[in-house]
Amino acid sequence: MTEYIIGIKGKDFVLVGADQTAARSVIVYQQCYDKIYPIAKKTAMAVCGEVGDTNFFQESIAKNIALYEMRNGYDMTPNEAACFTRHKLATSLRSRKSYQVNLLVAGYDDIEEKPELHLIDYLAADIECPYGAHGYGAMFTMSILDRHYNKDKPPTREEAIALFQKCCDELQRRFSINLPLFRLKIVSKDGIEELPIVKAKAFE
Amino acid sequence: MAFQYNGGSIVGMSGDNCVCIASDNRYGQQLHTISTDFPKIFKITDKIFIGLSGLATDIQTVLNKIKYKVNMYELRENRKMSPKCFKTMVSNLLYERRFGPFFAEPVIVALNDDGTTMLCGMDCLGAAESPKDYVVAGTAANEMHGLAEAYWRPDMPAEELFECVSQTMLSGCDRNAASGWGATVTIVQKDKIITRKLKARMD
Repeated sequence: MTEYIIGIKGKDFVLVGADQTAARSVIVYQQCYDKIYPIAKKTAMAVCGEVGDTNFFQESIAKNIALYEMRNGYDMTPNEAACFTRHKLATSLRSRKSYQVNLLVAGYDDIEEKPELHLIDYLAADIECPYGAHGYGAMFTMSILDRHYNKDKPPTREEAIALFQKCCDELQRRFSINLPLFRLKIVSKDGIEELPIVKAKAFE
Repeated sequence: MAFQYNGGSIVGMSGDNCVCIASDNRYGQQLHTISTDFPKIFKITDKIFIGLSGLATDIQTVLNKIKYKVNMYELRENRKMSPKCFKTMVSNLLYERRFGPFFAEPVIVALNDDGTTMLCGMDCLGAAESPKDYVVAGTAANEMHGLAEAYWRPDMPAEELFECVSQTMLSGCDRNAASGWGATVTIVQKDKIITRKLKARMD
């Protein structure tokens, strides 16, 4: 819950951001931890939640999607990937081993030629949305996105990054957990591209 | 507690050879609203619609299971499922999980082949009841009972039925924190299906 992952859908891309903090209790182990993983050529998954489950679940999904591509000769679309992820999470929910992971599946659909962003919570409820976030940080930043995001005119890359910067600054100002650095990736028809690290600037 | 976690309400009513079903559009996690575009009504066939309220993950799981069973039935039997058969299938699907149930409460509205209406509400264990007037489910069920009881008359034509269902849904969600953010209403008639989105108190 103290981690933060966010997705913002643009006209032909999805911006995925995540904090870079790996911490347990009061100690921060790492400030450069990457929580956004590629699961297909044009689909990325940002994961947060229970410590071992995040890694295991993310790898399991990525490998299964790779297997699908090997078997069928074509990639899974982001919608299919999200559906598959949701199904895996839902079946594990009422079994002995359940995964406590909140995730975002962001991808670019080559067939429909549009970006897709799926918000999946730890109970496996999947929703396709123009923007979304997980964690306590979501409670601070969703209202900023409601205010500045225009559904009729989705943001350009620069606007989306500026919006993301606003969210990071708000977290630094009002959230008691220190999240100084954020990793940013863009998923578009050219694949998954990494952008420069974003630093929260509220007190500069 | 599981039924109130995500919020959501459904109302279904029957009229003169037409049925109407409505749901709110909210998807939240307790007090935090995540999406305002999550209608909970799903088309099964041209004549059968199901509304599912309760925990969002179970709504999606139950819907997937229902779609699978309906598709397999249509492939094997080479005909569309009848409303009575569909109602029994959903009831059995839920009762299979008697001691670890899905937290989803369906409302089924349908038109039979002879034009008569079928209206059915179930609890999470599959106990089905087919009243002749209306069914409500979800977090705002108590609020909607009063309005539905007052507004419903037998054999209402389609437009009047639509008004009745809309007013019930809007007023019910106005007074309930976990449901709202607009409503999606669907009227099913013999030859057409009309879906309308309503704007309510957006909170």
